[in-house]
Amino acid sequence: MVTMSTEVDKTQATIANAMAQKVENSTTSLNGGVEREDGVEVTTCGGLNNGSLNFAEKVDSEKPTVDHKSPQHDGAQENQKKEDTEVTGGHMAKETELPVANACPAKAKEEDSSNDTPNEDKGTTNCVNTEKEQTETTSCDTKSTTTTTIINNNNNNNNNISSKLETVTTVQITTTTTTETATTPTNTAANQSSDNATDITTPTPTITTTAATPTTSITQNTSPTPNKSNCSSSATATLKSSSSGTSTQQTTAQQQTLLPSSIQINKVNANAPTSSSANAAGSSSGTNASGSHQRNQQQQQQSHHHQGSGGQQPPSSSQHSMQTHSGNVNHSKNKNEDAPNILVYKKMEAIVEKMQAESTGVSVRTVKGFMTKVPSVFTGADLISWILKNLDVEDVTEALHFAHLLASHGYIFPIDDHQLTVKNDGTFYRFQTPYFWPSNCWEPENTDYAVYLCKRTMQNKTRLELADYEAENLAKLQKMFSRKWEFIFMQAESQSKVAKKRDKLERKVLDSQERAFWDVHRPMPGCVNTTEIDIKKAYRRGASSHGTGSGGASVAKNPIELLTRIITLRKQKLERRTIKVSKAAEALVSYYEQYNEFDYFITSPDLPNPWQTDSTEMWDAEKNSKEVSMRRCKRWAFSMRELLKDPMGREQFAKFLEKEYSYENLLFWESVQEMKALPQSEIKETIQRIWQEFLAPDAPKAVNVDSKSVELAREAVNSPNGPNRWCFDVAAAHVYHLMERDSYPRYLRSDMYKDYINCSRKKIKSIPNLFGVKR
Amino acid sequence: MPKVDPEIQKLYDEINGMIEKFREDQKAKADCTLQEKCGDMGDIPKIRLAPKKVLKGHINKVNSVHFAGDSRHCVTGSLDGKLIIWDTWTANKVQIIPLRSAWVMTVAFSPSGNFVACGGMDNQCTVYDVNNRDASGVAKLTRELLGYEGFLSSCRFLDDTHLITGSGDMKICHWDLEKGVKTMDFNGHAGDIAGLSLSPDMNTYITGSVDKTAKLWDVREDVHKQMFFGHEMDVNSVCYHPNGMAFASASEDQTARMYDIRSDQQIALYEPPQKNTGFTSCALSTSGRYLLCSGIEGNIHSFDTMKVCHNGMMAGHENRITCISLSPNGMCLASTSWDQQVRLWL
Repeated sequence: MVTMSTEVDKTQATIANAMAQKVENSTTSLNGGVEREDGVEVTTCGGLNNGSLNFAEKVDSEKPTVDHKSPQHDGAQENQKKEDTEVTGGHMAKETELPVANACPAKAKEEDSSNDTPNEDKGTTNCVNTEKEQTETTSCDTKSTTTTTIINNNNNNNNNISSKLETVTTVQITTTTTTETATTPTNTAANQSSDNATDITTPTPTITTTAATPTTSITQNTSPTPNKSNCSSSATATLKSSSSGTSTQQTTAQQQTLLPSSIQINKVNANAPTSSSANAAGSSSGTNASGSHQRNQQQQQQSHHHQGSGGQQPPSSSQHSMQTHSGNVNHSKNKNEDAPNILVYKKMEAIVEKMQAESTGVSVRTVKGFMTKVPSVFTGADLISWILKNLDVEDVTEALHFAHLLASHGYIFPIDDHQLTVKNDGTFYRFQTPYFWPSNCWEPENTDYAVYLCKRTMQNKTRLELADYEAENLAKLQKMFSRKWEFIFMQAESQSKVAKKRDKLERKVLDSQERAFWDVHRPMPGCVNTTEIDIKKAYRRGASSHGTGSGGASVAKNPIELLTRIITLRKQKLERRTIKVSKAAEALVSYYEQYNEFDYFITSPDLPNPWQTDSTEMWDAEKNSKEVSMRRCKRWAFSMRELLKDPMGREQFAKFLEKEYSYENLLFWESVQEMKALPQSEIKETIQRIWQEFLAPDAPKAVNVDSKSVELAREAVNSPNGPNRWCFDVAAAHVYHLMERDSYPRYLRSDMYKDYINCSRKKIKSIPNLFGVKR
Repeated sequence: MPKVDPEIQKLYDEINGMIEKFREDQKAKADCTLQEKCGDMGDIPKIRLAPKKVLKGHINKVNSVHFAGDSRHCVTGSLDGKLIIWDTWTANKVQIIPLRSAWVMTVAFSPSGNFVACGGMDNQCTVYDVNNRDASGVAKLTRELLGYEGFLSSCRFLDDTHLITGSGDMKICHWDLEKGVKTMDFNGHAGDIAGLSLSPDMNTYITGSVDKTAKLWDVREDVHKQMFFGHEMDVNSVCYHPNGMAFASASEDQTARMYDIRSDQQIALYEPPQKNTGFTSCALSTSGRYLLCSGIEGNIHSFDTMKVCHNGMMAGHENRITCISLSPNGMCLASTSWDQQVRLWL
């Protein structure tokens, strides 16, 4: 990508656009409370802008990511109005952002209806009040990270785009957190009956420790930025209020900011009472900020546990999320449906759901070992036997292959191996949480990966130690994101702190699921990445409106001219004489009959296959022409082209022609062929030489060509534009034809050829036909 | 949509009328099918290619492979930013050429084995001289051919000094490598050009495109001589029949087809038994009897071209096969895949 220099400008322009839009959006979102932008993603755009993204997998997604921001935002604000171009923007792009997109329509709906739902409104306010402390602390956390970004930014302030960008980042992180905090109470409200509440609330207080930076610096840093006074000031307001959150007034202000989003989420839950926890997680995954990542996951995990323990019906919840999913992406749905992967995912998910069914599924248990407990696992053997029993699968091999496919897409994974495959033994496997399923169209960013790897280094457990390739990746990423490494590090740190608060077993499960997720999206070397599409095709699907490929190509400057051209071409087509298919078939058959002897797949060759026998005899034989196999000689009789293609054949034919005093024909034809391959600089000279030698009236080796061809050649040679390399074509074709009609048949009938064939027959005993296809 | 200009409408009608006429014409010429004609031919054995060797060295998706004229060396290009020239017999690397851009999509070996060309998302074509080294000991970069607006999707050498390329900006370009200039440059298709195949006599070539058609070109002209319809999705690859009268095409629409040039129409349609794969690349055996097609699911399918039936399937790759190339002597098939492997089938 970096090297795609022509692209860069355009890309930057797009980024600028996207940024502008984003800023608008985030402004509105602060006011209107619709916010679901992910801080991390934005920062990645910054990375792109700096040209730092040269990571291989990256390019698949980066341009679309940039592109696609706009449809996303549109989708959030007004679901229905979408420009076609933007919609076509993206197959890929959509994948990139689907998790984000998930929540959009629901929210938009909420916006419409929020006015007439005062009850819920109140309820949420209460929630927020009760969770006041929590809100404060989280905001503090944000503030600290924000400041880091800004400080980084100051270094590059001369760059307009990047400064804009960072502003957006600031705003977004703020809002993200606000939504996040809002989400927490609602979820708590929604899931009061479950144990989730405790889990969700616990992580937040721990973050307090990281909040140490003074707020003032932020205000100063943010406000000078041009154009964005609106949003930056509101952002600052939020930050201020949250930082000194002890005062009640400010808390109220904060609540006001928070209100709309919390309403929305609350409403989502109200809409889907059957699958409360899973859904809450789903919707908040929509609002998914990198910081809340962990938590969502946790919720999912919770719901997953519920499934396991029979609390919730897994199909209902996931189906529901499927529905919202498909409904949400309606603006880009068609593209989505087109993607072969999605169809496959749906099928696989149906099966995985069956596997997870409580009584009829694969039995998931917690294995107790000496001093250790391995939670929610099943063995490979269990899985295979379940597949054999429940699916239309004939044998173990097929079942294994099937299981391998499931694993390679990350629906099931071995608990302690990076290689996603299934063995039919006692190895333990685990189900992936639906949140991480590939159908969510994850297209995770390198920054996310960096945060993840960074987090892994913070946990001093042996089971979490980085594999070699991961360590390498981490080093690469650190280099790539050196400018914002501090930010990544802090994110990782806060995530790891959240993780530490969790129950031990649960953490094990979560860690492994996250690892499996990355094993799918950043597979270890030698493993297949199943989640990507062909980059060539991605280009064309209009994913890059500004890019290469024919996606956005102009139809025609002048349609009439174009159409007239097409018509003339078509007329030619009509006028052309075509042969009947039967004749064409006959030609193919006769060619086959002539050549089947030489087709390696049908007849084994004279000389042993060098690859199989480890002998280079075949190649050597080609080079030294002492011995020519009979089969090779036979081929000379097929056509003159065959004869001339073989150096030995050519030599023999030349000898024959010399005897017949017509060697000059061959020489002429060959010189013309050679001349055609010469560099332009030598062409003129060579043409003159050929003319003098073969065609000129007193040529030493005059060839037997009709006067018309000679005249044509003379014209071409003496043409005012200078001779071109095709000037002898007519004459050469004539000579070739002559040889083919006259000398060549005579050569084949000559004793010379017959002797040669007999001679070679003696030397090489024929090899029996091993496959009996020769007729 | 603005109102259609009556003149344009008239032209459209004329074209549509002509298309109707083609259909009738083709029908009239299609007096029998290939199957009928070849039904009495002897069956051919199931293809007995086996994955004999894995060429190890690339550390990212391998996008393209092409054999040199000596049937022994081949070049592969991978997203790890390297071209590797292999001696397929020893399975050793002869040369590793680090590229300036990792986004290589296509490679080509000149028939003489003296040059390799490659190109891709860097929107240019780069030619290396295999026999000369630069100061750092890698093959010497002889030409950088610029001026594309789309990624390079295919290139082939006519000889050591002439190159034809097809690219994502729908253009076909002819290059004189000696001078480093473009000798011709024209819009070839209404979509990305995806595949290119030279005729055995090097006078014509076929291109396949994302616009679902394949076209026949004379190397000297910038208008196509013939156009072939039929595929329902991108034509990813085309391959000339060794007799120069027909060609095979492989498409995303899960079919491969055979077109005859002289009868100007499709004469056979090849489908895998389970329709679960699009085809990325195709190759015809020396006699034209076997058609080999690589699928996105990672298998190579073989068809009997004459009797129009599926002949076998070869598994080995673990991911999409991006390209296959049959050695000119028809003995060895090389395939490249997203699973980072280059395999030799014998």
